[in-house]
Amino acid sequence: MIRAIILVGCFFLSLLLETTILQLPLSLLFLLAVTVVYQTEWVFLIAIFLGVVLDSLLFRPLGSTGLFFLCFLLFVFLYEQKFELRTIQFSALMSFLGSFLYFLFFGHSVLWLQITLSVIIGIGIFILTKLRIPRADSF
Amino acid sequence: MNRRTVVFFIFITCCVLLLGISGIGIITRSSGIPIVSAIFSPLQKAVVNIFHGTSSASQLEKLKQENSALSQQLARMHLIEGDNKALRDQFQTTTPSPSTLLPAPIIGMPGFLPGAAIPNALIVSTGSKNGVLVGQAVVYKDELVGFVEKVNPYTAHIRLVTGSGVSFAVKTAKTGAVGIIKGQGDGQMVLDNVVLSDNLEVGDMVVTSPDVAANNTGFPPGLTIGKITSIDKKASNLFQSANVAVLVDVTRLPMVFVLTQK
Repeated sequence: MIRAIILVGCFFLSLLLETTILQLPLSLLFLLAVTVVYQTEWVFLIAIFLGVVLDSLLFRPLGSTGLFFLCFLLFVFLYEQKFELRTIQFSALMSFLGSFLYFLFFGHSVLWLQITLSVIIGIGIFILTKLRIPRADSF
Repeated sequence: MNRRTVVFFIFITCCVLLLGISGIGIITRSSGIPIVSAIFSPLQKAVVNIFHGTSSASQLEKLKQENSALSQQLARMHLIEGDNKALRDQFQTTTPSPSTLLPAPIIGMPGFLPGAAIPNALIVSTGSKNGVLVGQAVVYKDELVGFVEKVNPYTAHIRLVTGSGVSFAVKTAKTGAVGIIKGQGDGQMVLDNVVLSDNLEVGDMVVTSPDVAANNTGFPPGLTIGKITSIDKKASNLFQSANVAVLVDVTRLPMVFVLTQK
């Protein structure tokens, strides 16, 4: 229960920061970390909710961000059988790919500094999520 | 088909349906879900206030602001000079209808990364419930910052004049040369389509031409847009152009003002 509250708080904070002062795909990075750590279908529901909120706050067509999140998460899940998802390397690669595609679709331009920062933050979030939640199957 | 695939297809269908109904106008494409904006707007305002509160304005920034204010005063003086000349010539100057300024606290800057990317737009916590309409001018002091592009009951999306794809008619304050200002998307603007016979001067201020629509939206005349920094004039070209720098740094502003007509 406490774990869920912490996660909701993190998602809420990432939404607030992403829509105000920090123009980085924090919600996507949190989603990615939760996806690779928990590997559960619940992330689809969180993705669609975050997508709708982001669309409303950033004046995008409703459903577009959710659609992007869902496709990206499915892409991550496709590698579940091939690779070990809970590794820093996989998290870094997916953070890079996710933020690159996010800026390509929703940003005004693709900026490598933003993508690099996203990868660093993505790795940080992954490590924190993994540290906080030692037993991934108990979600 | 496993459980994950089924869940994915259910949610993807929801997203496509959402996109569809927002596309055909059942949910207004530009406004999103007003309740979400209503919930998040005060929190966003608080976050932005914390951010602005921690950044102290340097001496250089103060000097820049002072310089900007003086430049604006100079532009006003040139406009007054023009008005006086017109009066002397027995022409009556048309006064724009009285306007009111609606404070609009900035709560978001899409695409902004300090030191790396300049915003093309602002999101403010003032919406149609406060009387904001699409197309209204957004100012800070006497300077045109942008215009309202999208609006919902609680928030509005402001397109900055420096944003890529933004263009409208302007004139220079001192020489009266008319042209089209075009935002470049990187904080810069280009004054284009100025005929060669018109005179452009470095340091001259660029101001809005009268462009108020029947529903009182648009730009009233005389709002400062920026200062000419360089001129590109070639005899072989049909038009001359000039680079224009903005005088106000929107990333440091806590709020802007929407110009609503009485």
